[in-house]
Amino acid sequence: MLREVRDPDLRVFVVWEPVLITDWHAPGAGAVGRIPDARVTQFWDPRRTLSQAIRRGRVVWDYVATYPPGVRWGDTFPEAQFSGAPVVRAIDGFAEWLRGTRLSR
Amino acid sequence: MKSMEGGTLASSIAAVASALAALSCCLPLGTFALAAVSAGAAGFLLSLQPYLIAFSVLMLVAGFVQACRQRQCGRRRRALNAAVLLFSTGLVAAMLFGSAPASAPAGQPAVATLRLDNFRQAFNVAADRTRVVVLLSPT
Repeated sequence: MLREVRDPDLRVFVVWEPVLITDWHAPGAGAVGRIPDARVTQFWDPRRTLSQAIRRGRVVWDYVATYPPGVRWGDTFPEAQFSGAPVVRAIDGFAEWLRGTRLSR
Repeated sequence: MKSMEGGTLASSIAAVASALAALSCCLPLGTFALAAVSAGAAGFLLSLQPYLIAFSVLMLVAGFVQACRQRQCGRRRRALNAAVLLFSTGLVAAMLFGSAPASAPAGQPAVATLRLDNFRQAFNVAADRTRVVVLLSPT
């Protein structure tokens, strides 16, 4: 999906967090290596702090959200322009959002 | 009558206790199983993680001591002990040393453990650009 987006200014934050019973260690080379794009920054969030910041009291995972230029994180985490979960179901909506922006041109 | 019932109950408990003691002498399975379960639970009971890992290490040490003392056990039980011991040690080691993420692909910054302030700063520094945030589970 990221290959279709040519805009070098796009920033992607991938946050790995333990959710499943099998997630008792940080992401290995196999997981991290699946996203080789240079515009990506990857994090390991063992305490799910970002998930708590996005939606307090619920675990947010397998989730994608987009934020247009100008949106800043102030007191609370900002509302996404597009968001969806699980990613496998949200991917069509994400692709549509991409086509609606100038990023993929 | 009551004292007879009490005596029967006490002897039953004693029999179970001695059977467990004998089993744990020859086969410290329970100790290693506790270490493994505790290490596994530490993966998702995050607030208790340091205590669970410490408990796992303690159980492993106790299991090793038990295993070293068991001279009178048969070869098969010793082999089973060795298998359980290796599994438990591997699980606890994965918990202790697997907390550091793998290195990032070429061209990306190193995979950092997320601190909310740092992440907020990175998010806001890129405020003039479109940003995508993805939350995933490693497995």
